Amino acid sequence: MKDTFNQDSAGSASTGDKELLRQMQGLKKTVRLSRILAVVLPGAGFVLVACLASTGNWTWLLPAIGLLIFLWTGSSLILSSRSRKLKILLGQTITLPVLQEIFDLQEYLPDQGIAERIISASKLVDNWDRYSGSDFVRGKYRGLNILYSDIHLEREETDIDADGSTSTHYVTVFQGQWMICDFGKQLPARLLVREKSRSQLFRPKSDIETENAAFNKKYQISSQDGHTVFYVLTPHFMEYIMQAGELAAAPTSLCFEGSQVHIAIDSRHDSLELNRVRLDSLDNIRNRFRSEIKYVTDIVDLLLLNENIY
Amino acid sequence: MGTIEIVLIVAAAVLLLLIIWAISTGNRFRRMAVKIDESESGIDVALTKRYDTLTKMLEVVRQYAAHEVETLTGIVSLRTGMSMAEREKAAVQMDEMTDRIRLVAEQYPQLRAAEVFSKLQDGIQDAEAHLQAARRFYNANVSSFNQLLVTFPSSLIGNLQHQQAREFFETEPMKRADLSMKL
Repeated sequence: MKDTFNQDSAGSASTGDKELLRQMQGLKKTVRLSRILAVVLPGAGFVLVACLASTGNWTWLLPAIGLLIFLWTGSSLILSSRSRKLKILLGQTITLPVLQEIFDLQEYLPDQGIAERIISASKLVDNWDRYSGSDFVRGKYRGLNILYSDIHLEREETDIDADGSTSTHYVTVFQGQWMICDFGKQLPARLLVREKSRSQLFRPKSDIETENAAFNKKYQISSQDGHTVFYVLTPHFMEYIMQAGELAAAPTSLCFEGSQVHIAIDSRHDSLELNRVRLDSLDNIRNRFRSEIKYVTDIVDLLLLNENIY
Repeated sequence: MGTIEIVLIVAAAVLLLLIIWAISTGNRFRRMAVKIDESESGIDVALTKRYDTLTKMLEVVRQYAAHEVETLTGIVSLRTGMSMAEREKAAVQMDEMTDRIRLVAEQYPQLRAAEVFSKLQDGIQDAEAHLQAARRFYNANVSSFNQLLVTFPSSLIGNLQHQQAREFFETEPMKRADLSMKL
């Protein structure tokens, strides 16, 4: 088994829990402060420049701007390096052991996700322009080969104001957990089962409708081959997909292609991050991370490792 | 532009829309008919696959219990151009044949343990899954077609084209009765 992170190579990995927690708290504090400065400094700079300009004190204007740029650049660099250090420390000491408990782990890359071309080729999510991923896992789960990561997909939108000037911003199209695992059947055509968004005024039409009216209402079914649809979506399996959707408590979509299935949960948050965890105890962090992974593996258990499916 | 001209233009537009609708509905019936034929052939493919796997299984069983399987040979006959009822009858015959092979296998542990027999059992399960899929796909297409045929206003076009309701691939009444007795 090849580990990208080797616990013996990291000096801080051998520190006790208390020391580790102290390090993480320190890093998180620095990250938080740097984030605040990165936002506040430009605003303060604008105010300072405006004050100096209004008093006609041009002598101090350039040095003041220079100082502010220096401080802002410095805080941004610190933010970037401390964030990375925190991520690495977290990955080595907390995330990796938790993943090793659950998976037969072959590879863990905290800064990478499942390859963009694989996400794009699945066609599960349409109309996105920017990709990022993190916490890539490759291994086995109860005998199934799996790839797992957090994925964030965004669409570029351009606004034009009354003066005709354009500004670009990004809108999240998908953010959540993405898993690819063995399906156990070889399929001749791709099958997409996408949960319809409740906010959509015009629900996307399915290529084929099954006998299960509730399933047809909840999911858009797309495939070039009707036989594949009915071969995969047996009455039992449709019930389990709906149960999995309830379990995820987030829009869940599946892509069946070849002998693999993609399970994409649009939870709108990343897993295995400290953002939503209180940094008061390492056991809390470990338990939180375990529950985040279990959230996905429970769905795999229900859908793929259930003896009653077919 | 006078009132009469406006009325004529509107009437022409409505007539044009009606013609377009009639043509597209007619084409929809034809496309659905093709889909039904396509899914019907899918049933034949699934039946053939199941039959071939059963035949192979029978050959394996014959090596262990030749006299037991002689009565099973020739039970099922497949031919091209079968009606839906004949296909369903063939499927039921194959179900019975599968059950009887399993009963024979239970008496011969060496047969059950044979890897080739185990693989063929998996093959039979997969063939049954494909047959179920083919059946459901066919019935879904027939259901859509028959619904279009009986609902107004598409029924007008369907009747003009002399379209007939298609038969579903149904479970035989005997099979339902047998199930209710077991319950």
